[in-house]
Formats: sequence, C-alpha cells, structure tokens
Amino acid sequence: MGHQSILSDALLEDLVAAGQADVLVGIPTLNDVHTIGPVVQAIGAAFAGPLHRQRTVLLNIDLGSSDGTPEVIRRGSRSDELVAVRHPLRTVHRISVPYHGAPGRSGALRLVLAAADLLGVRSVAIVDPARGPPDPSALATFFLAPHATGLDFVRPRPPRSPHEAPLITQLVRPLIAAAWGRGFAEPAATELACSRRFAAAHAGMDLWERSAADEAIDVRLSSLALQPTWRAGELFTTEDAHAAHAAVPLARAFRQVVGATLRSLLEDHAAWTALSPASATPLATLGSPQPRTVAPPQFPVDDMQAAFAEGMGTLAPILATFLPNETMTALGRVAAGDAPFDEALWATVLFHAVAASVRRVLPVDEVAMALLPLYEGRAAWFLLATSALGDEGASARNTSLADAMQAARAEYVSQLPGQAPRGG
Amino acid sequence: MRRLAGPAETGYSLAACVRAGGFLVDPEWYRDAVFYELHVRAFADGNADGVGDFLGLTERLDHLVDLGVDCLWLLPFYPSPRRDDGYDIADYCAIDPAFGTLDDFRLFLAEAHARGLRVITELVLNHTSDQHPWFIAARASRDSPLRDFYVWSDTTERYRDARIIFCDTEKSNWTFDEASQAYYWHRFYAHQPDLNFDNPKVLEEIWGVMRFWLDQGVDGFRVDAVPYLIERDGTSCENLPETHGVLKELRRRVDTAYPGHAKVLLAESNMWPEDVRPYFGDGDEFHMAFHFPIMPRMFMALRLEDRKPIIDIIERTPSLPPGGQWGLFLRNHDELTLEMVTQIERDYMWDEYARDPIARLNLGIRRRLAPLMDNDRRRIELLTAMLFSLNGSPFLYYGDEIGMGDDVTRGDRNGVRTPMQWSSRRNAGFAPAEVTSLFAPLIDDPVFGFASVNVESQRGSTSSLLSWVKALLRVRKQTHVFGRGTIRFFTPKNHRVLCWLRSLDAEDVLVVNNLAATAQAVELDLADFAGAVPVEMFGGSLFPRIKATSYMLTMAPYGFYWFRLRRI
Amino acid sequence: MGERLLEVLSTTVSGFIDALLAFLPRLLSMLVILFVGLLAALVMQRVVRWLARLLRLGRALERTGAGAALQKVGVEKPDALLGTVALWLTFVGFALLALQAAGIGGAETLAADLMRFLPRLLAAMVVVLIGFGIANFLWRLVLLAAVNMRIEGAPLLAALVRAMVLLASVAIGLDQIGIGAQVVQTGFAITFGAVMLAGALAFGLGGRHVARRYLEEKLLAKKPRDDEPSHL
Repeated sequence: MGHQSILSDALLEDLVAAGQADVLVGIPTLNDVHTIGPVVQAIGAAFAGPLHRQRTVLLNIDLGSSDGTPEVIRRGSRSDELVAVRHPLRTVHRISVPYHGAPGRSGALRLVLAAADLLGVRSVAIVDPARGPPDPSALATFFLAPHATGLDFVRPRPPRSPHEAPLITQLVRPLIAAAWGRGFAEPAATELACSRRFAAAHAGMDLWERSAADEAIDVRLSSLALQPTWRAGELFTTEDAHAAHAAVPLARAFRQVVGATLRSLLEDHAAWTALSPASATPLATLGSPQPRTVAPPQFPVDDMQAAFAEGMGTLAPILATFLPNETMTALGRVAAGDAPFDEALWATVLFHAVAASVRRVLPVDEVAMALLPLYEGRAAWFLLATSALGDEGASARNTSLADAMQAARAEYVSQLPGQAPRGG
Repeated sequence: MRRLAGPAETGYSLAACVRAGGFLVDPEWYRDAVFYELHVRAFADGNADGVGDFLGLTERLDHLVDLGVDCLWLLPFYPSPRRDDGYDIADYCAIDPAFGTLDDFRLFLAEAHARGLRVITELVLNHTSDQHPWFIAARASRDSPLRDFYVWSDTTERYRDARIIFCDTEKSNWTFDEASQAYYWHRFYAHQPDLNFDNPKVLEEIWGVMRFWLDQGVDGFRVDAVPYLIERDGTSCENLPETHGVLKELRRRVDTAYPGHAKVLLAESNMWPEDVRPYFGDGDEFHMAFHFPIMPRMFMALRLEDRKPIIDIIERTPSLPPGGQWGLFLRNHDELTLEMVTQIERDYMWDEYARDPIARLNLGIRRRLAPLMDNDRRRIELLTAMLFSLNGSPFLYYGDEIGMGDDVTRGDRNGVRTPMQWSSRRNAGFAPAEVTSLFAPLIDDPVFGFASVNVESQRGSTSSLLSWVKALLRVRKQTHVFGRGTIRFFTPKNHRVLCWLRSLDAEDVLVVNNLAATAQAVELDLADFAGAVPVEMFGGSLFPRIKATSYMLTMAPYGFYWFRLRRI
Repeated sequence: MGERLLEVLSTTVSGFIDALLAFLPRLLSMLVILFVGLLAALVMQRVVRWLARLLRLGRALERTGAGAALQKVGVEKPDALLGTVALWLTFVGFALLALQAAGIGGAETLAADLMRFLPRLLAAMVVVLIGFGIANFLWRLVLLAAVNMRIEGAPLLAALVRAMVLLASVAIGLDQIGIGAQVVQTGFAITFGAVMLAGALAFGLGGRHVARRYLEEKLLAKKPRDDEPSHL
C-alpha cells in the first residue's frame, strides 16, 4: 500500500528550496485579509531585523480563503503603503500553500509541524493571523524562545487581570493545571513556539486523525506539552493576541473550549492519572510580567446568576446522571442563594464532569453543555466575591481554587479502579 | 534569470592580435590571464641575506610557469622607509637594494618574458613617502620650487568632507609640518603626503616614472589608490572628474607611446561597482579595475549558505565598455576589506570569520584564504573555482595555491606577508641564510607550518591543493569563455545553489556551485539548451541530455560543476 | 360383582398403565428435551453474553443513550439482558419441541407460528430500542442546546421531541409486528402533524425573538456583540 503523504508535491518542492532552517513560522489562515498584512509585515521585519542571522522560513497554510489572503502573504504586503522588508543577508523564503485536507486548524498545524521536522528547525512558531499588530522584536523573542532556552514548548502569556476571562481562570486553566500538576496561564492560546523535538513527536500522531480534535487542537497541544516528557514554559508578552477572538458567543466558545479541555483530559487520561502532581517540574517563565493597561470588562453577573438558577432547574435530570446526590443538593442550595459557590464545590463538579467524560456517561460535548449554567453560577459568584478585593484578592481566590482542584483530583484518582489512594 | 551585461562580447581571434616586436600580442590578453600577486621580499632569497630578491624570484619562475599563471603582479620593490610595506616610495625609479639591482630586475623581466609570463608593477600615484626627495625639498621652505608638488594648508578646515581611511591609526587627513609651519594633506598615513595633481609638473614627473618602467619592459601597472588624486572643497575628495582627467591623460600617453604593446592599467579603487565603473571611461581610462565588493560577499555567501549576497552585488554591477575587465580576488596582501558591506554584514563577517578581535584590522580581517576556510579543502576549492569562473580575471595571492597559513599576532598585515614556503627544509627553502636573519619569521604552527604546507611536498602529490589549482588553471585555459564571455545567473528555487552560464559565441559553459555544507538537490530551468549534452570539464564525464523539463542535479557538500554544454 | 368391579378396575388400571406406558416414552423424551433445552438455553445465555461483551454491545447501547434509559428501568447491564433474552428464546423453542414430542395437539402449529413471528418480533424490538435511544439522545441534546441558548420552555421543547420520536418508533415497531397497522399509522400521522403545527406556530409566533436570536447566533456569530464581554 502506498504511503499517503500529507505534504503536497508543491510544498515539498518549496521545502527542498528552503532547505535546512533555524526558525519556521507557520500561519494558518482563512479569510484573514484584513489583519494579515501587518502580521506578515512584522514577521518580515523580525526576520530581517533581530533574526537576520537565522535561517528563517514563513509557511502559510491557507484553509481556503476566498478573499486573497495567500496573495497578500506571497507579496508580503497588502498595499503600496506597506513596504516589503528586504532581508539584509539571506534569501527570504515565503511559502504559501493551500491545504486540501479536512478543513480546520488542526490539519494546518500538523503540516507546519511536519514541515518544521523536515527542515530540521531549532524553533517553530505558530502565529495567529487575526492577532493584533505585533512588535517585530517581541515576535523575534517569541520565535527564538525554544532555541534560546532549550524549551520544547512555549506559550505566550499576555498581561491579564484576574477579573478577565473567567472561563480560562475558573475552568480551563485550573482543571488542566490540576491534572498535570502544572499549567499554562493561557492553555487555549492560539499561538505557540516549540522545538523540533516536540514538532517531530507530534506531527505523526494520530491525534490529527480525529475530527473532534480540530477545534480542540490548541488546548490539546497545551495538554500534551504539559506531560513530564517536555520542557515547557511561558513567555510574558505585552500584547494580547486574544483581542481578535472576543466576538465568539459564550455558548459556542464554552462548548468548544470546555469540550476541548475534557477531551484532552480524556485522551491523555492514563498519562495524567498516573503521575504525581507534586513532582511535576514547574513551567519555566521567560521575561517578566507586564502591566495590564486595559480595564477589565464588566460581566452581566445578574444575568449569569439567573442562567445558573434556570439551568439547575431545567438540566437537573441530566446533571444528576453524573453528579452525585450530595453535589446536586449543594448546587441546589447555591442556586437558591443559601450557600456560596465555593472552590471545593466547583472543583468537585468539574472532576465529576471529567469522570462522566471518561466513563462515557454522556458524550463529551454534552457534558460541556451541561456545565455551562454551572460555570455561569461559579463565574458570577467569583466575580461578585472578588469585585471589591482587587487583583490580589482575586488571585488569592484562584490559588485556593487550584488547591481545591488538587484535592478533587486526588479524590478522583483514588476512586479509579486499580488505583491505590493517593495523598494529596 | 538575471543577465549581467559583461564587456561586449568580443570573440577571441588571431586577427585581433597585433604583431609587436616580432611576437603576436593579443591586445586584450589580460582578459584571459590569471594573475599572481607576490612580494619580491617574501618570495625567494637569492643572495642568502634572509630577504627575498629578484635573483631568488628569477630562480623560482619555473614554479609559476608550472602553476600556469600568465601575469605576475609585483608589490612595491622601490627604495622606501617601509612604513607601509613599500607603498611609501622614496624613489620611484630605483630598486630597493635589499631586493637587488636594476640589472637583477632586467634579468628577471627577460627570464619571465622568455617563459611567456607578463609582469605588472605597482604605480603609487597618490602619494610618496615623506622621505622622498620631493617632499624633503617641498617641506624645507614655503618657497621651495617643489612646494606645490604636495597639498599644503594653514588650517585643517579645507576638505573636511573627506573621510579618514586608516581610521584605526589616523585622526585627521592633515598633519602639521613643524619645518614649514603648515599642514600637509594625506589620505593615508601621515608619512605618506599626497601629491598635488593640480600641479601639471607632478603629472609630467609621474609620466616620466611610467615611461621609465615601461621602457624596462613591464607590461603594465597596478595603480594604487586612484580615487584620491585631486581634492576639492565641499566634496568627499574621491572620484572627482578632475581625477578622471588625470587618469585619462596618462592612458592616452601610454597608448600613444607604446602602440601595439598591449600595456595594461589596472585600477585599485575600493568602491562600489557603480563608482568604479567611471574608471573604465569609454574604454579610454583603465583596462581593468578590481571588483572589491564581490570578494567579501563570496565569503559571506559561503558561510550563510545562501547565494543572495552574490546575486545582490552582481545586480548592482554595471556593464563595462569594450575591452574592460574586472579583476577578481579572494585574498591579497591587504586585509579582507569589509568597507563595501553594510554594518549588519560586517558584524556577521567579523563574528563568523574573525571571532578573535586580533584578526580584525581597520574595517577588515587580516587572514589568508586557508585559515579563513578552517583549512577545509572543499571550501577552499569551491571559492577558488567560483573565482575562476566568474566574469573577470582572477588574481591569486602568493602562497594561497598551497594553502599557506598566517599569523594574526604580527603587526599590521605582516601576518599574511610571511616567507613563501617552498619545502620542509631549512627556512622552508626560502633562503639559504641564518634563521635569525630572515626578514620575518616563518609560519611554523602544526597545521600551516612549512613542514606540512610547502610547494615541494605538494608538487609530489596528485591530490594536493597545488595539483588541484594547476588542474583548475588548465581547465580554465581550455576556453576563452571564462575571460571574455557574458554571464547570466540562474535562480533555481534552492538558494544554496549558485548557478550561472558563461557564453561566448557558440560556446556555453554552465557553472553550478553548492554553497552548503550539506548535499543539495537543485532543479534548473535549462529549456533554452534542450538537446545539449553537459560535459563535465574536469573529468570529461557526460551527463544526461538536457530536456525541455527542468534539469535535476544533485550536489555534494560544497560541490561544484563546470559543464560545457555541447550541442551534438 | 366383585369380580366385575375388579375387572373394571383392572381394565382401567391396566388401560391407564397401558396408556401410561404408551405415553411414558413421550413424556420422558419431553422431559429430556426440556432438560436439554434448559442446558442449551443456559449455554446460549453465556454465549450471547460473551458475544455481547466481545462486540462491546453494552458500550454501543450506552452511546446511543439507550443504555442509560435501560438502567432507569432496572436493567443495569445490557449484556445480561441480552443473555436473558437469548436464554428464554432458546428455552421457549425447546419447550415447543418438547410439547411436539409429547404429541400435544396444536403444538406444531404454535411452533411454526412462533418461528414465523420471531424475526418480526426481534425487528420490532430493535426498532423500539433504537427509537428509545434516539428519543433520549435528542431530548438531552435539545434540552442542553436550548438551555445553553437561554430559550424559554426548554424542557417542554425537549419533551416534545422525545415524545415524537418515541411515538414514531413505537408505531414502526407495532407495524412490524402487524398489530393494528392502519390504526397505528393514522393515529401517528394525526398526532405528528398536530404537534409539528403547534411547534411551528409556537416557534414562529410565540418565540419570534427566540428564533431571531437563534438565527443571529448561528449565522452572524462572528460579529462582535458589544454588550457581551469575552469569557476567554
């Protein structure tokens, strides 16, 4: 049987021409013509400026744009006002190929990692085409991070107030961190930089074959990188690459991100349950935290609480399929306003959700959907409880959430069949 | 594909040769020639005093004939205080006694000509030594009749826009003369006052000097520091039209006085090619000029494994008038100059080729070819092969044909001007003298020392660098296409492969170079040559016939091919 | 008289004994068949359970949601249920054989009828089972989606969907068995039409704003909504 290569002949020809490289930057695009110009421009400036000694390649995988995005990338500029930066030393390799596989980011990311492996790069980075206008020198630091520090996987860490992004701070971040004993501040970030070792190890994995992995790929890669095999770290940045993604409605974002989180924990279940969180190597941090200049947004807390109360009433039959009676009772008291939605309760709920996913009591997406009202309740409670406390108070709450998660994790692992109870 | 319009295609033919003095003289012989640059002092000692001389050089001429070079370029051998390796001349029309006598020189010249070797010498127009009788007389008094042979001023305010070239040692282009209480102008060292070419008498004196040597039989001059002859306020004092006027006049006089002798004038002008181009005039100024900027870019391209630097400089190289020719070199008696590169490129070159700051001098690197290449034969061969197949006449620096080393710890550029290593015997066979009497210590480190690197041992080995260079010269001499053909660059997708085509009349030679330390595959678009059979020029191997589709070649690390494209 | 009585008695007894002797082999063979049938049924139960486990039938059922539904009606393990069904089917088959062996009238016809009826019954059971799964699955999905989108009356909507699917599957199941085909079909058509009309009216008129919000979210999701800060 012939081998079905994911590399098209055209791409391979371009890779042969690019040859050995030090830094590969991949940009998966889909109709990003409005934002791609400055991004490509900044990458070009980073290549020609701080990275001029490195052999650099820009690889765009286009997922079927109809607005001329690939042409912009090939030209390097969208209009005359953006002057293409000439590299002072080297030939510039700017490859743009259409992706013909199943649509979605994961296939494009896989191609980038495979290309990085073939080119023998020291660093490969994925850049979000919809990110805000980047600073070339910051980009260069990010691109080089794996090579310069010996790390296998680096996530950018933009400045964030603890009152921002409750879905990350209250759910995705603590859950993944609890599972692996260490976690990225932004596990769902769309940008990453990794070593060739990491790229080579994952370019061929079957995780790409699962259609479900598509939306989940960013969280999944974070989860994979947290395994003890990899040296992972975070790079403090001044920019917020998430700005462009603020527009997704909560229900959909929640289903995607929480579904991705649960699916990741499901896929790597054997790995994370087998390790001891206390012995995990902490993440390396690069740079220093930057101040957040934008005021945190105001969430409609009342509305969220109402959604929680309604959801508790309506979804009770479904929730009861994976939450034990005492948890249901506790949640009921919270919904009635008789008790706080504290960290311990929330951690318990989340690990029951993990258990439901693992035991396939419900499909993962349904578990995620069932969690939405509960999340709204927890997030509303957290926001209300910490609104007067300032950033430090909120951070302290999040620390205690992390502790509660660890306790819930220990409890969960101890109840797995064939598991000796673990201290925790 | 890029086309560099070289000198107008002038086919080589017997008819073009002029009969002069009983010999057939090709008026454009310099376009096919391979030049060999040497120091008389450092080449061979014939009188056992530890200093090279014309007697020694004459004895060693057979080595040069065996090597296959066509023309010798002798570095200054005139009486001189030797504070700038002889470029500070104290007497233009004499031989430094350490190197022999004028009779020794005439004997040498006759022997060289008898072997078919031509000889060009140094003509330092711009300045003299401060020990030259002209300057001694000029500074003696403000009323001296020779006062106007030099450029004087009471202040340092004139010509302020002129840069300082030897920035490591000189603070100003003006130096105060205590004797006559005035400043004199010098673009180089303070002990090298500039001649004043605004004074017509200076031109006449210089023409007298040129006639003297041309009458001895030398075949031309390498003219030193040509851009700086004339000074004008408000300018950089470089490349001025008046300077071109002086040079055109000298060329006119040479052509008139020596018709049919094919004397050649070669300009040293370390400038961008577009600034050098005017020195060719309309074929009425210089015959040749060095192409300085391409040299560091060849080294840079090799280290970057990227053809871009070479393509970039070729793109900004203008075409030459008929009969014009670039002089190309990898290394010479000076530092590997990095004046004609950007700051980013210079930093890169310094970091890659001169990590040890002691190897840096002015804006350059004082090293020989072999040490720069880490003594890697493949890289030395690739660069040499590129030098011999680009559009210009190649200049070899003495000792580089055997891969001699250097000593960066010696002052100035003396580390690359050490005695030629002839054999592993006493004093490297350079001088039958006491070791202590040698003008400079031999290179004796374990890698490059004369015990391991010398002509005698390499002559005996078919796999030596010397044997390889001889073979390269033989191949180059098979055809005039390298000296006179046009050049056209190909840009296959693989940037590690630098590829060009030399064409002259019906002859096409394809040159493919792999700049990378790793094996490479390259697909060339040779549709224009569909049907031709590539014949590898070193071994004569036939390669598969070219088709309309792209031609696939695999290249060994630092490998290169010269293909004659035969339409059979 | 006594003799007569004795004779009658002896005749009767001997007749009975004769009859008994004549029936005994049949009885014995019936008992043997029943016994063998019991053994075969037990073996069958094991085999089916083993097969079900081998084919991960239980997990497949759970995935459709029918597993959870079965749990609710007391069936903890679908594998076991299948085993039990196999056991009884096998045993009933052998029992019919036994009756036939005993020469009991009508048994042959009964067996033949049962053999003809069995595939239809099985098909009907499968249809209902699948319908049950689908109904449950859709109920959950609709409920979750509706709650996620804050649609009023989510439980009602979900319950309606479940009822419809259940109704449809039961109708198809009954149709398979051939019970009251006409009645079932007509009844289903009327109910279905009524429910759909009601649903359409409710969604289109009563829930105009819901419909609009739904469509906006689905079709114009990429447009930023100023009043909703990002949770990401």
